[in-house]
Amino acid sequence: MSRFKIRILITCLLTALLLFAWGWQNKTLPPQFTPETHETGAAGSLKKFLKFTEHKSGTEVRVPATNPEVRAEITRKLSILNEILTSKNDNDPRLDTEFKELSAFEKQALQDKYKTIKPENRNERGTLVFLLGRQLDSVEDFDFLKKVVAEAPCTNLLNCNSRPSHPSSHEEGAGEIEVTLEYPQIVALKSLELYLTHHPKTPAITEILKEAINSKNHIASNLALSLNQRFKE
Amino acid sequence: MNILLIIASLTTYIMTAFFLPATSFAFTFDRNVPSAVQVQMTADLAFIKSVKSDNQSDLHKQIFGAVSGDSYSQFFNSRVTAVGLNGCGDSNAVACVIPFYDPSKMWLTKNYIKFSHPQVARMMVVFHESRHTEVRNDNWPHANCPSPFLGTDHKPIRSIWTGADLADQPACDETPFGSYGSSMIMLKNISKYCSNCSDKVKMDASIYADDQFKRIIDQKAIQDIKDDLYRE
Repeated sequence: MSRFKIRILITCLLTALLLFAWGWQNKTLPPQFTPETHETGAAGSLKKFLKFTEHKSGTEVRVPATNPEVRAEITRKLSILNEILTSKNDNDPRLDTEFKELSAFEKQALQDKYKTIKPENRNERGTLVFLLGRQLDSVEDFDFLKKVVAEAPCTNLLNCNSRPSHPSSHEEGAGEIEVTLEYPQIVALKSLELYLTHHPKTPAITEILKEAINSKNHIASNLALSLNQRFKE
Repeated sequence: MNILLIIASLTTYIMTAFFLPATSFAFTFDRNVPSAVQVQMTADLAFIKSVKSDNQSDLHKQIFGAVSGDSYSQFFNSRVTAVGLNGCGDSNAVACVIPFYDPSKMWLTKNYIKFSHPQVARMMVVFHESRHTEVRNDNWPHANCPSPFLGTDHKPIRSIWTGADLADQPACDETPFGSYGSSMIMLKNISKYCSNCSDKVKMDASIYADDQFKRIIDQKAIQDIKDDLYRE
């Protein structure tokens, strides 16, 4: 075999090896349950939870220790969610088929998942708020949205805590960046807006709107102000 | 060594071409556009290509035709022939068109994948820029925002980057047919009429369209868009 052919063979082998390594790194590993349990007062009653570690992010999400079927369903839904978030495909139909009727445990798992997502991942965080805000039927659901609207502003899409990026030479793209910076808060308020159209008298929402109005997220603040005025009567 | 490099590049090129999702968009990527950017833009355009609807607003019909993937791909293909990599002179930019260099070429920045925008927001930027390729319409130049430029709270609209007032800055449009108008009309139509979009896509499309609408400053243009898209 000539030296030229050997080089081609080596290149192909290296490429195959790289692809294999890439696939291995990105493959979805099954979640690992740790035996440690703790109790929480979520949903008004004490429930036992297991700590649940996602391999890929290395973060913890709680799932109930009691019922294996419930646990399996949460695991399945989190796995689907991870697939959707990784794909960056907001038009994945499973967002509307798998996440429309969430149990209290599933909501808790999604709220835990929210906390594990980096603040800079505005679309991922907003997706979680969207899924949870679509089904508001408990005090915990409203508490979650209240915490979201009260979050400190994200001032830079690459690092929420750093100063805003250098001034633009023109302001053409500032609009969509500004909306994305406040995206989770805007989605929370859009969820409340939808809820208010069906339940205009909801004191819990008035409190959340006050929180949003006083926040430093100025698009969200203006949106909350207009909702407050619209549903005041 | 050179032969090895050529083979490695060729292999990468073939693998990239092989793994990219197929769409009917006709443009070519420059070789220096990172494969992750290529993959994301191709996937985003595949999403836009999949849009279906039985209805559209009048302004949408005038600009794009039907709310459908075929209309959007035809609109894009007839304007953008190549996509390259550029900083676009702005650390916050996602895409731009530089007409004097090549009016049919769109430039993406690495922010296309670095920033966590919703998918329709990325497409809004791409279609906004594609409108700027139109030489026959002087590339749809922006108008200076009015002075004072006030928001719904009657306070000056300021740039979040500089804190500067946007008054007198070329960051507005006086027509529904420019870059801001056409892209917001596209998104608002997707929000209202798309029959195979997820609820999230429709919500996002409405959020970003409503925001871009603020950049339309001519009263007749505002009224035309309200009549077209915001009347119950």
